[in-house]
Amino acid sequence: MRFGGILTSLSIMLVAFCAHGMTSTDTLPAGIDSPSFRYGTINGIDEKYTDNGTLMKLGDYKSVVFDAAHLVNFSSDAKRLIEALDRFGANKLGDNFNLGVLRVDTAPTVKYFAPVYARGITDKWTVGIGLPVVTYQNKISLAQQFSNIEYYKRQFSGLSKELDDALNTNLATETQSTLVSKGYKPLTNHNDTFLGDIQLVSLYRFYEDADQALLYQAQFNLPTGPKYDCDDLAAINIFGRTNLTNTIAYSRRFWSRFTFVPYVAYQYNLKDQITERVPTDENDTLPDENSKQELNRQLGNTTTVGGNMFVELTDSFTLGAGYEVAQKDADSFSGSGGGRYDLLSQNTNMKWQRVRGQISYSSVKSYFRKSAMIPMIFSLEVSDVVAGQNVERQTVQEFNLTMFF
Amino acid sequence: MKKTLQIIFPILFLLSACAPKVQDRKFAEPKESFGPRFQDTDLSQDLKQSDLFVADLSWKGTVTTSTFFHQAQYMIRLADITHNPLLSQKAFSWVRSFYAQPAMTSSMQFGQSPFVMLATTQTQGEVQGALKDIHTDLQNAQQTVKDKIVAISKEFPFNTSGQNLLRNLAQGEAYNSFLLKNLHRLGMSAEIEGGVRDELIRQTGSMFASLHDLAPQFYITKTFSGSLKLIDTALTDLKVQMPVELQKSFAQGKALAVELDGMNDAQGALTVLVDIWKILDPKERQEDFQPASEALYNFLSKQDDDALNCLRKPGCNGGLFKGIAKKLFILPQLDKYGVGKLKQDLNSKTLAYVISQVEAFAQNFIVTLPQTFGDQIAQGLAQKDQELQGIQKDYPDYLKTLLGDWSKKSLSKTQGQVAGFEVSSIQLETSNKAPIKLTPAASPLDLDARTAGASIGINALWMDYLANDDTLGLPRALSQVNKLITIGGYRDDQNNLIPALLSPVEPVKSPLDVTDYANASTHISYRIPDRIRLLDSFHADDKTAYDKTFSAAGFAEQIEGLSLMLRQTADWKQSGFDKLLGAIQAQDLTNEIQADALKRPLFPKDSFFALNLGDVAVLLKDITKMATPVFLVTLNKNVIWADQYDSNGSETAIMGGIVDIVEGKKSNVVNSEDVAKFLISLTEFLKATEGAENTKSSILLEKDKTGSSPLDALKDGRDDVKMLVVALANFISNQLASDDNSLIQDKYYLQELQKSNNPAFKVEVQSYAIRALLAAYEITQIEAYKNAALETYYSMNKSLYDGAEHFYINGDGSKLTAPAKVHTLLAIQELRPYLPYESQKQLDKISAPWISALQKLL
Repeated sequence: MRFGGILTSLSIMLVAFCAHGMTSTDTLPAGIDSPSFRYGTINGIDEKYTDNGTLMKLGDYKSVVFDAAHLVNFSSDAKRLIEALDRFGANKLGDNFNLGVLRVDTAPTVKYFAPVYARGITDKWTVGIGLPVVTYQNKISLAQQFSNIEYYKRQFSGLSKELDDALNTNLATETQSTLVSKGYKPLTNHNDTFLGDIQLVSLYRFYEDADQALLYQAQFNLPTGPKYDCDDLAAINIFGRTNLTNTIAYSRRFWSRFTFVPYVAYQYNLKDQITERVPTDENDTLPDENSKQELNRQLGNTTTVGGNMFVELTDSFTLGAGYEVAQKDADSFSGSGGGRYDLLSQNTNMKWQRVRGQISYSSVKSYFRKSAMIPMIFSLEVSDVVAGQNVERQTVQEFNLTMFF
Repeated sequence: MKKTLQIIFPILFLLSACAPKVQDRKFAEPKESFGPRFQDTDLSQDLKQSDLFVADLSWKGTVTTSTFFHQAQYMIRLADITHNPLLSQKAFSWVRSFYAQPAMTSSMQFGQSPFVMLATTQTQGEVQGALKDIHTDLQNAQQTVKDKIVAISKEFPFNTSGQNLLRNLAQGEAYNSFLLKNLHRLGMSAEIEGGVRDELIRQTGSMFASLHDLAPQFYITKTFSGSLKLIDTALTDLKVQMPVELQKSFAQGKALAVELDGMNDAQGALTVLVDIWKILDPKERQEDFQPASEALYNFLSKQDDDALNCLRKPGCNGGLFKGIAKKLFILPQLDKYGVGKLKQDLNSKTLAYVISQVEAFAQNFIVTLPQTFGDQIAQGLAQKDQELQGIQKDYPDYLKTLLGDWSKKSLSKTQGQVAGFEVSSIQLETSNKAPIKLTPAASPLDLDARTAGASIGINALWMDYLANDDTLGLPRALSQVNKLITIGGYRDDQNNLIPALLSPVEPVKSPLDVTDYANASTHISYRIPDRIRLLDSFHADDKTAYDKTFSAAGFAEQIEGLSLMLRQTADWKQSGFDKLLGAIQAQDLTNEIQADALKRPLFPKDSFFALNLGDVAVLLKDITKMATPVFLVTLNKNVIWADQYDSNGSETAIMGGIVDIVEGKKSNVVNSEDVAKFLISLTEFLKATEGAENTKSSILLEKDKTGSSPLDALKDGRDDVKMLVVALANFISNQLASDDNSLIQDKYYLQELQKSNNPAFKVEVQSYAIRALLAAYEITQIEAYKNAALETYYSMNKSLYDGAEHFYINGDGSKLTAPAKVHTLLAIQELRPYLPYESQKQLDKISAPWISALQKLL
């Protein structure tokens, strides 16, 4: 296992800020301006779906077992220690040596506030821009568990300074000092607020009649957020990307109150360049500082298929539910400095299934009936990743206030 | 609306029920307990009849002395473990029997022994320096002391008239006290003043006591002869030499006194009168004779010397006229006066004369006391100076004589002889029917390295048991200290290097100089060779070449023996050394010189600890030298000799062993037993030097230019030795142990890095391995070694126990010798505390008949 970034796959988080709420085929009437404010929190990202689909606490998932089998590959000194311990009697003390589990407990939360401005160019075409301001908080702690090192200390302490030093290894401390010695930032709590990637959106409704409509949405993600930081293992590292997401959504109204909106989307990432540490082999879990290279990165593209169902409870209240399946291709890296670029790609492919629920209040009809002061929509959306591979679980709660002028 | 909600809510509940569940990752619990890999074997069937079995441990034949002493050592250890003092008593009675036999050891005069040589060398500088200082002080004191006494004495109020003898005696005593009080004003050094004071008190004390006794008698004596006797007694008691001019008069007086006492008739009276006449001068004759008898005075006045001599003899008439006068006039006159009365008168007169003379003498003498004391003290100082100069000129002989005389008193049974090293082999016969029989089977001058080690070891143990008044206590202890000295060598009083028994391993003639060993960066290894010819009881014959064969067992036994002795010499704890040697002070050697400097131990324990430690250190230092017998096995399976190992290098050594050096070449074969013995010897060293930081030895505490002391080196050395113990234990438990059953192979081939894989396991190899692994466990607390020992024992029970023999037999079916059985008993008894309860019971059943048999040996 690479001792890679703690959060690696939050890229599905910040979906189109400009397209309000769940995917639909709605556009703004021509000449209407619509500022909106979105505030959301993303929880549950301390849990992750592993490559076999099992949901685990991120702490469990990222924990590293330092048993003899692992240590032998970890360093030549450790290998010598294991071999030496095996020479003490016939109890295979080396093979049974276990420094324990380095448990990396994290409690990450992401909050965002995104002012969005949209305008109906025509009745069929709406454009918009969103400027997300993101607050990333993460409480990180390292702990050593499940070790039998105390037994070994009792047995071998005092024999030699070299052995004492080896047996007094505190994984948490050692990890931090190793990180520092290799030029990484220490694993400490994060509380960062920054401007995320600005998004430009274009919605164009191709077809519409009384019961159905067909919409094309193009969302362009500008790399205005923080750059990729290969020295900070706890960095969020999902910003600074350039991609284009194309969505085609179809809506069909039935039973007068129900609208079903199936959609399909494809996110295409533009190749970019990042500075990354390139491991020399599978055992190079923490590449040295001198392994840094300027790499060409091709983030994997994402295909999403989903569908939403809206129920208009009244003229003002609407309930929505949605389900989508997505698959992201593995990232690929290339460079000229040598090294195992393929290892950087490991576990970067993703799959997930997300469900959504939404309740919204709209004063638009009331406004036209003169019973509301301003036309606006207020909605609360809750979504959760209910299954996946190589992806954090993301439970999102988002409030959205959209006004129309 | 209602209907819609009825649909939506169940769907939401359904979705929440299907919400993903987080799975905890399971981490394997690490292993924290490592016991033996297999269990004991149930021998209950074999042991059914053990209660009825009567074991026999009779032992007969020619054995090495080392084996014999080790048997005793094992029995002592067995006694400790099993709380059976009978076994240790038995062991020491065997050792006592050994030393009771003639020719078991050589011997030499203690006055010529290495200790005396070393003591002379070690103290010579200090003593010569001190004597030189004293000489200077004495000379200064001699020049001034008399004048100062006279000057100070002017402050004393002498009464110069009308004093009788008693009052003058009191006056003399008062003056003596005055002088003692004022001694500090004489300007002598503190040491000399102290010496003068002690001497003055000693001499005047007895003198005044004697005079107090005699003086009153002088006044109550009735006869002239009695008074003279008192004077004679006084002169003798006070050791006063009468002046020559008085000697004649005193002799005449004594002769007169005899005549006076025997005066029974007129002729006798005449004889006395004539003798008195002859003593007196003419004036005194006139004063004393004329008033008493004009006729006698006139008669005697006319006699010449011949006539007087004639008159004093009976029968001598002195011619016609004189004869007539004598017969007809003088003798009848004397008869008429009364011989008895005359005798009384003469006694009275002579007594009064003597008293007046003595009182006059005392009166005159008392005022000369300052001069007399001054003369006496100056003479005493001069005499002392002369004596000390004599010692200074020939200090070695002086000390040898002193120690020789002391040893003749202290070792009266051997007339001052101290025993040297023991014979290397003996004829032995022991059974439960007759007392042990021991006879030497070799010459004590052919020293065997193993004997040297084993004898020091057993005697070190014995020192704890020997009582202070045991006739062998002091002799054994003195032999031990001499062995310690001669093993490391020393320099004699002429600074000549006396070759040590620790001899070069390499083919060089460069004897060990232990006095400079710490500073010398010599690459030469020193050990006692397996065989070496001695010149005398303690010294190697450096003119006779010795075989360059140094067995690993010999090396181990030297370290073990010296380490056991370290327990005795460790100066920070009580031991037999204190009991047997600690109370003997240098002052005990002489009464002639009384000095605080001599009130110190003759056998300073801390110095012997340093010496003893030095001997072991030379051996341990060998491990890192070119001729090292110790090899290390690295993780990369390379064999590196210990001198070539670099702890900071690329190789990590984790195991080690020891080989023999035969005729200068290191053997390829490793004997498992030797590795175990070596390990045990190192643990003995570690145990013996525990707490060494408390030593008071100035030699060990002295810091060099870099600020480090030999004691610091010892601490580092202990760490290295501990690491070596670990390496040896690893080698035994990991390389010598068979993979399947942990029984120990008896050999290992270095070049092939391969154990012998001989299926015929030897029991004694297992015993040594068990003891070594337990010793390593005790020192390091690494349970792997205890587990390995347990596994070996369990496999012994499984594979080597023989029901018919009621004990273990070798893998090839051969039975164990008696000493091998005793050693095996010791090994399994040492293991006993670590066994489960059921195994302990089984072990007890195995041991019981054999321990009983051991007790029954006579």
